[in-house]
Amino acid sequence: MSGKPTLTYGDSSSVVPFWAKPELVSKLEKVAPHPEGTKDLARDVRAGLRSAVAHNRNVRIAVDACVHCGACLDACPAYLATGDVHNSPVGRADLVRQALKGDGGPLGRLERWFGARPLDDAGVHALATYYYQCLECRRCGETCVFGIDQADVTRSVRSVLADQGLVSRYVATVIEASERTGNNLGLPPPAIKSTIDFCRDEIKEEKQLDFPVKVDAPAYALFVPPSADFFLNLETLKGYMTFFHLAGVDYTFTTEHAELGNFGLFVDEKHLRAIADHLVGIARKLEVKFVIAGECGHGWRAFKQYVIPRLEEHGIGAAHVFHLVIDAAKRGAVKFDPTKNGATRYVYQDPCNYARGGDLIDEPRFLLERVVTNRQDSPHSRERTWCCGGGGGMLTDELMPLRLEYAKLWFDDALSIGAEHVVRPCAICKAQLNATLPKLNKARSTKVAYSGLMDLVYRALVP
Amino acid sequence: MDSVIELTVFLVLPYVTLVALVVGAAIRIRSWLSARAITGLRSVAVVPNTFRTRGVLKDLFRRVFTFYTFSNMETDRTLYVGSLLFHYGIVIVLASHLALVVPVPISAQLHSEIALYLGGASGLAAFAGLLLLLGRRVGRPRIRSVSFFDDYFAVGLLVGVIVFGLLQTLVFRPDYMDTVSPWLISILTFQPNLAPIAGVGTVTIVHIALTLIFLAYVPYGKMVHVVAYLFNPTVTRTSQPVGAEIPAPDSGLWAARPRGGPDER
Ligand code: SF4
Ligand code: SF4
Repeated sequence: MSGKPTLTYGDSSSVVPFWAKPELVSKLEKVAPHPEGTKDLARDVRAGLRSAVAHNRNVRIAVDACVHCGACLDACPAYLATGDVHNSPVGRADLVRQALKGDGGPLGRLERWFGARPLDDAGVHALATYYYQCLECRRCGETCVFGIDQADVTRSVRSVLADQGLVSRYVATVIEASERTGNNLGLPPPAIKSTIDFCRDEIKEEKQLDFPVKVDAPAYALFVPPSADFFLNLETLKGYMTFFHLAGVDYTFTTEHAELGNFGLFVDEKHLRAIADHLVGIARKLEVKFVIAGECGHGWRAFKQYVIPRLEEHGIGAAHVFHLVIDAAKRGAVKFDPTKNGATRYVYQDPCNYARGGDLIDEPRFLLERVVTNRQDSPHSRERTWCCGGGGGMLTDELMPLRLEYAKLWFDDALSIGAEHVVRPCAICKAQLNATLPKLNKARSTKVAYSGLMDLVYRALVP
Repeated sequence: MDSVIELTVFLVLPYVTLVALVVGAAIRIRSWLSARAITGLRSVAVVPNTFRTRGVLKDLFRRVFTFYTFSNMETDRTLYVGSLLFHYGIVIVLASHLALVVPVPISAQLHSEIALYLGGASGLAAFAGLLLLLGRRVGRPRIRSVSFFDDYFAVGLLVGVIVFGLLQTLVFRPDYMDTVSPWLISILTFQPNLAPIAGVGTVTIVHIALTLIFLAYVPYGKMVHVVAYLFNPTVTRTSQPVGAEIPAPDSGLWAARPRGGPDER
């Protein structure tokens, strides 16, 4: 295939995700792939867009109310980093508006007369490319005076494209793994169990605490971390386990749905629901009364805005692990020694989906204040936080040129106040930082480190 | 010839505008209400921690009356200043126009002075704001690249409406309380009477004609923003709090307290 795409300022069209092959699509959509050439892609996409706009009020208003003021250009990390107007909130939405113009009917004829060109296959691919360069970070929605949230438009458009078999290979692969194995990474139960045992050993060594951990066993609560915590973020995992032990939380892990993340949120409602309903089913099967979410931004948004309402229908309560730590800390059931995290300057950066869609802003700050001695908010924080640059299903290698550009925004923000350690309690943030920080540090000759929040809780917890 | 123009502007156009406005508004509002879903989520609020209707209203109020989300933009302040000037100016101007149809218990002298100073000042503010916004749209390449026919058409009409309005208020100062006012009331009460307005100056005719065309266009273009955002679930609905009801310390959730746990130490 061709070499690495080059990114020139003002045009990001060259950075295109790999598209899922028909076999993968058909597994996902559970329909036979369309044989080449038997369908009118552009026509079907247009019909899909029309219906998405007609059914979702937030999407409808986004298309109707926008005054092209461009305030969102200034807010969008994708636009600021690339300078490509199609890779911006209003620019992306206009691809949809243009696609819907000149379509059918007398009004369409009038619009065609005014120069509107009906969508063609090239237009569909432009639509797909730019809609997969969106981080779904919702910074635009926060800034737009009308609250026009292009992230939700992105979700709708991607859903329409997926229905026609056009979906990012990375996102499709993750969804497929999640629906097949119960977690994004496809980790089999023995791998999950042995990671838990490995962490128990480490905790024994580091904290002199030895305790049993329930897996797939009856308990009051079910604990669901993102699967990356069983793989990449073991310090975070140790944080959860140690806290639960010290606070006396009666919980179990599950190997059947070892995943808080839900990539359905990035593409369409159908998969969002399928993945989430599976989790609800496991909670009911285990007959737990409570479900606890781990550290993951988009996973938390899906959990808060979809899973919790479903759990409530079955009388099951739910919260984020931070809520529990705060509760226990306030009661004095756990104690922290912040000096254990040294004198490092920790800078907190809110994961997008905590700050804009998850209502989890003050909670992590409450904890950070107690577990480190030297902490500061990033200049752009709370609802103004920058996306890590890997959100919205962009955490894939072929999009690295964009991810690196997007990442400079939060990196510069952190450097501007002398950060030594960036705290981002989110699995996607951590994976993105893991991949980009070495390059960013090298370019600026800095040594910024990163971690989640439960990692720091782990070190500060007094055994 | 004159009477043809007058008949068109003062009789035909007003009712065409009224129909266009009502039909357009009905079509739009119906399409907003019939779109019921919000992409599968319980809440799509863009402002964090808006758990109560009060909080939602407070933010909506702040958003619309202070344009606060524009005030902390990364690079651009003209939008903030221009939007404030234009919208405050135009709202005061519009409110002042109410005096054409509802009687105000003040002397004609005072009325005319208020119209001159308050009306003139707010009209000028709106005009300045509009020029700032238009200048920004034309002068900044990135804003120009997201500007379409619609954006210029609406703004162009508004420039005309405001210029001819200001000409009346500040330069020609015709007596409209005995001409425009009775005519407008007659139109709105569906008993059209063109007699009072006959022979009114050209500037007034143009101002009225442009205004009517603009109003007729409102439901079909971006001008719907004035009401559309009130239907946007991202800024008009609450979010739901989580974590407020953590099971009590003596519940089963915390029952696995280790031997010699913190409480006993
Ligand atoms: S800020 Fe809102 S109204 Fe302005 S261009 Fe962006 S989406 Fe449109
Ligand atoms: S969600 Fe984020 S990346 Fe996507 S358009 Fe909005 S601001 Fe840009």
